[in-house]
Amino acid sequence: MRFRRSGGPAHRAESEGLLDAARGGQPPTAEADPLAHLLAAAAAPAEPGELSGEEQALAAFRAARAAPVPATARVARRWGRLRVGAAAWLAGLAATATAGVAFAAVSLDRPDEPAPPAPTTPGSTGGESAASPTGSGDDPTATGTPGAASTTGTGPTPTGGPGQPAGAGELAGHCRAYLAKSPRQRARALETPGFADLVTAAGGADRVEDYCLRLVPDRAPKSSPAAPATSPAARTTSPEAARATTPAPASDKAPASDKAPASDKSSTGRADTGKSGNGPAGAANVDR
Amino acid sequence: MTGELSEAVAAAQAGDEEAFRFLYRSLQPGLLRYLTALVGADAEDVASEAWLQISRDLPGFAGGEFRAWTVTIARNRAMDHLRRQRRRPSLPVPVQALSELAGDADTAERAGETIGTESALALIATLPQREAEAVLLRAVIGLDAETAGRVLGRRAGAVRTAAHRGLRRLAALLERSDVRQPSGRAEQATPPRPRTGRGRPAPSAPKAEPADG
Repeated sequence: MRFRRSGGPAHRAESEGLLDAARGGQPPTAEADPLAHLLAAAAAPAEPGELSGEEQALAAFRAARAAPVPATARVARRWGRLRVGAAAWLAGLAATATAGVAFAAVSLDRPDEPAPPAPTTPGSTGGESAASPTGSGDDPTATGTPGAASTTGTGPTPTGGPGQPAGAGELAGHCRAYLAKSPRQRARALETPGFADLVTAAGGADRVEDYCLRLVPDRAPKSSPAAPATSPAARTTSPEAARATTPAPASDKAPASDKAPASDKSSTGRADTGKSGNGPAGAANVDR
Repeated sequence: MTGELSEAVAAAQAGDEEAFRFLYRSLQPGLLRYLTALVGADAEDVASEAWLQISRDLPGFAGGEFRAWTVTIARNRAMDHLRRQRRRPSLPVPVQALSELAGDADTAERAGETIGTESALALIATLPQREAEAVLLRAVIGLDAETAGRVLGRRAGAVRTAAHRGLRRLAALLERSDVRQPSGRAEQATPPRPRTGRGRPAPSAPKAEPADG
């Protein structure tokens, strides 16, 4: 406000425009504001000197690939980072499963009772309201949906990929699903086409376990007690999680819209010092 | 650009070295420029520390804005570095560099531009840290205000305000140098430094990390 006399952006919107222009890499016109030139210069393409550490960075990348054995401290840190994502994933899984079961129960009752009380779990109300619009009293559609919904609960694929454009998140999801299985089921699961990508990424069926433990190290110790752990999470988050996951049979885009913000928030928020104001940022994150 | 980036991230996570090289080339200039404003001449060292951690933690990257993820790592490394040093460099960029850059061939080549990259960054680095970071994250790293806010642990609105103040300050600096000596803008970038630069080092270093939002 001290600079009222001078040129420069008069209000925040003008500043935002200048910043976005620089960010988009648009070259300013010759007669543009000197400030626009300054920002464009600051955001100019790389100069060779700036990339002098390239080989060093690549060496670090190679080393990390060659010896991925994580130090204890790093495991702890990574576990902290992944915890949010894993919790969201487990909640989604549990919610899908319970919603499917609850919905199946509800729809079995439906022919006799037109207004089912749905007393089972909070998740059931969410699941029902989302799934029933197609045919509220209709048996054929109603029975079709729960079957599909319960498949997503047990099947690893749709909920595993948290909807990133990249395949890596999907691989992590496959891994979690894989690690959640008993040793016997694991071998069989790897033969299914759903895990083909994982096998390819790991470089062979026998290396999947190591690969997965590296990718999602936090899942290793608690692979079996996963089921009891999920129920409280399901209770707290089931309404929205169920709503997001129930349409899964149509496509796996629906969980994406639910997951992306969660994983997004966790990815930036947790990598920070942990003091970030997650409340407002999370809200803003959703409109973006 | 963003799609290209996330493809490269996925490929690098699967072990593709060329994809990692692409990531480095895309992100390193911005990181280095941002770090220069934070730690001055040590920016390259801090940047390589950051890349070490990026390559190590890449398999754990769970999605979201990859630029924000990397810049958060870089920022944390910078804060560690400053904590180790317990002092901020007195000048972000040596003064000589600025006067040398006044006659930068680069500047002459690009007809439309009146100021070189390093001079521009040196000017931005004279801003109070909060404003400099907001401007750099938005314009140089290329984040939107929300994402920049998450990196800084502040609200998007606070980032917008800081960036706006920073731009107004920069406009004033430019104008002043323009009036006095139209030919040597970059050289003129130095005099304002004592005014804004003096107050900055001590108080803002510890303040940088805790969120106020």
